[in-house]
Amino acid sequence: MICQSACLVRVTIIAILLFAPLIMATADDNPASIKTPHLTASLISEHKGVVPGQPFWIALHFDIIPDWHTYWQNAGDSGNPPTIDWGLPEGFSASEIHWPYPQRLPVGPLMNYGYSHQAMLLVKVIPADTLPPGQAIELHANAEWLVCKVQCIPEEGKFSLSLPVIAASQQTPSNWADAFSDARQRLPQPLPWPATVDVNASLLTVNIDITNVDASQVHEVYFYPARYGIVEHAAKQPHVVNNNTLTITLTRGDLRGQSLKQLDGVLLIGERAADGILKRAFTVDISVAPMQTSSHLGYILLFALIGGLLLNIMPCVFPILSLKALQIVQSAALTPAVVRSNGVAFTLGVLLSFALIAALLLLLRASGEAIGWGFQLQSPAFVLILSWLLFAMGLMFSGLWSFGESFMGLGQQLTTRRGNAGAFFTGVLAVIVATPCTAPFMGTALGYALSQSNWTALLIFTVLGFGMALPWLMISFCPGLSNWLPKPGPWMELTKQLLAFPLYATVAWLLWVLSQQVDQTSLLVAFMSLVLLSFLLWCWQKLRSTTSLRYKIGLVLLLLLLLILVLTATLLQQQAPATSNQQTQDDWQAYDPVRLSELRRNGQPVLLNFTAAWCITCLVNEKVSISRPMVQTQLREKGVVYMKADWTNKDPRISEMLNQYGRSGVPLYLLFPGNGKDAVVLPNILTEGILTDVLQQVATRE
Amino acid sequence: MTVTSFKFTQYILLSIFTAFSLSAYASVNVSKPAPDFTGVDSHGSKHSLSQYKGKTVVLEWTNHDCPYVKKHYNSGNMQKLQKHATANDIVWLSIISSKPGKQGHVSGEQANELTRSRNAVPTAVILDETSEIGLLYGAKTTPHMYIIDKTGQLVYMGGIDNIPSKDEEDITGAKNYVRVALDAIATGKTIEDSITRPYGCSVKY
Repeated sequence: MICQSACLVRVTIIAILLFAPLIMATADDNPASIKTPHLTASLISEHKGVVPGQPFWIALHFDIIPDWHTYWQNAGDSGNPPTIDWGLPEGFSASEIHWPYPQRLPVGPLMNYGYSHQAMLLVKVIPADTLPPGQAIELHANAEWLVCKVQCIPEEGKFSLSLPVIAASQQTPSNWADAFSDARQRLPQPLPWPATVDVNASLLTVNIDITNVDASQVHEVYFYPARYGIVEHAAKQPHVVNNNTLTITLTRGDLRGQSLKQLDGVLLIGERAADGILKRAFTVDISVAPMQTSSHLGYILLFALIGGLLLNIMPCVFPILSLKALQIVQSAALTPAVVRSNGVAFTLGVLLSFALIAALLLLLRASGEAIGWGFQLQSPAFVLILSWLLFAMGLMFSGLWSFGESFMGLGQQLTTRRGNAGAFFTGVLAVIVATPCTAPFMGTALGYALSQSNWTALLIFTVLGFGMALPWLMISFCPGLSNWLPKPGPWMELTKQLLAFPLYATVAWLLWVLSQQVDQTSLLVAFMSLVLLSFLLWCWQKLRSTTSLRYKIGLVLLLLLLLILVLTATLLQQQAPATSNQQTQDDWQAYDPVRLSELRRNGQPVLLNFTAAWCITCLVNEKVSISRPMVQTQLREKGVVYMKADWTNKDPRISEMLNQYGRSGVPLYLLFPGNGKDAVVLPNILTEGILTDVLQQVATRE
Repeated sequence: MTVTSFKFTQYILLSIFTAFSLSAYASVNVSKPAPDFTGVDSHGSKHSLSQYKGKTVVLEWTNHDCPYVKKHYNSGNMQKLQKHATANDIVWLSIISSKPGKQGHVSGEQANELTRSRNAVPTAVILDETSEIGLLYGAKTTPHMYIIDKTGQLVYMGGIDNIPSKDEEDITGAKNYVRVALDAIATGKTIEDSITRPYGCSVKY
């Protein structure tokens, strides 16, 4: 009997041990909770299960006893924000904490920001795309927090949360779902109104154009700074509303002696509504004009002009250089007046395309897209069309086909009008091809342009284009130069054929860019489209000699149809974004804001390279400087983490970081020297010498 | 007319508010002369900042019951820094701004006992019961560190180091801003991190 009951106990224990994970997994909500004398901390999930590949919310929840509090991301004058270290299953990733807006917690003459009663630290988890169904996954969190009344108690806890893997159709909200939606209501939303900030030695004056807010109903306005030292936390924040402009005066904090680049934080606006006070929180992130010393428009325009000039010698403009070179040579046979009007036409082509790109860019940004210079190359369709264009030109240079009498009247008798159209088109092409390149000075000018009013931005873009066209304009207005140029002759045909090859090289490179943007099937379609294109052009050339008009028209229509077919085919296949460049390799890591801030917190030096497959300047820089063995050895010796932010495809996180440094495009090189120091912005054109010199200044870690 | 005068009044109010908040906070600034103060130490002697002109002075806000202060005293980190300073003819003033009845408030004898038992070697422990010095400097946390150079300029304000935790183990890997600043002063270099975020418990004003 005794034995029997003992056996029964053993069996029961074994059964419990066996089924324990299952019980955990299937229970309604079984948060791992830790109770301290001041609060109950729990790791909780909004939903009962995990659907593979489907992001979900979890939270560290504090149920705090009366009069005690925990802290916000900026704790204020004292205290510390909670930290969570995640232990996640493979293929999972967790966001940074999404903080609901906090409360003000005054302590004597000091001010803290935090939460009393309840705190929900929201975290979005992206699970792996494939997970074995029926099993449970475990999320582990190591959290540290400070809980305070007047005195503060540091506490910590290890949590784990087990969730079953289920299908999307089986997903159901947990008992915490309401708490999650409540907390999300308190997350700051992007500020929907334009805002500016004026800075002087002791005050920050924030102006916000609040439309659709009834000024007379504004009950409460408070700005929570995201970081230490920007604003004196305990200072009053007087505000007025005038003609829909909300003006808040903030007292600068400990960093008042230093120049302020960014005002970031959360703005809380409380309005009287029918059913009490309606509180809304907004994320504020206002750039103070990025260049304090030379932000005069005059300087910027000069930068833009020089940047445009230098664009001509950047590697990506090479195919166009070759085109222009031929045009100039053949212009020796023309009258100066024709040469001049060609020069003007080219300039107009450049200016108009720059203005168009600028307008499109501004329009898209106004609609909330996080994009910057070179954004068109983030579109695979654009890259493909560009490669068609260049491939067709290459084939023409090789003599497979011709356009009209000839493309841009090359080596033929020209009429003035056709010459001008050709020159204009070359200008357009020059700009399109130039977008993958950022020249020195240009980054600064563009970054500034996009932080200004639309008209100023357009002006800067136009000056940039003018700078690019300037050398060619000057050549066409300087008749003396034509004497210096070689006489037109049969050698031009040879040169033309030779120049087809840089064009083919560009096509090859564009296809490589495309290979990083689309899946393999789409890539094959892209390759095939080039073959089809050459076939079409060959047909065109053959048909030019036939005389039957109906036959001609019929075929042209057929070909057009084929082309459209190709276009739709590629468009259909392009949605799979490539992740090929995002994985972490041995000698470099993919950019991740969380990882970066973690490294910086640990005092680790970081070299951050903003690049894109379509950015030739970037690729050249990498080849001639960062990848050099000497630099690589130095990076290893100094313990510098090399991080790459690949902007080949759209990535708002990268756009945001570029914005922070007043840029709107790649390349950008930042060196964080470690120990929490601010980044050093390296030149856009890197050499081995520059890099080794800069790295020399990074302290070797003990 | 009335609208204009209303606006005008609003701006006047705004500037009064602003002026008010200025007088309460914009107290000290790095690279500016540090404001003078006089305080009484745990032995009853008076100390004023001006009497130490010609010497580097370190101000340390402290509260022996605060976990963050304990982190740096239990590990011996603060004492080590004090020894290094006083051995190099640097004046070290530990300041207690806790109001009577609040955490960290001590009598002269208690303060001396704490110095003895913790093997601390400050030049003096100032009892700032009235919070006068604390508010003058805008001291926010314990510890909160300030350094004044030989010419009387404030050259550092902020945290003791760059890892705001309560764990003693973190001290070894941390960058001690005060030590780095004192070394920079000794070698005539500029202090790179001259303003940092202080971390710790709030000063119990």
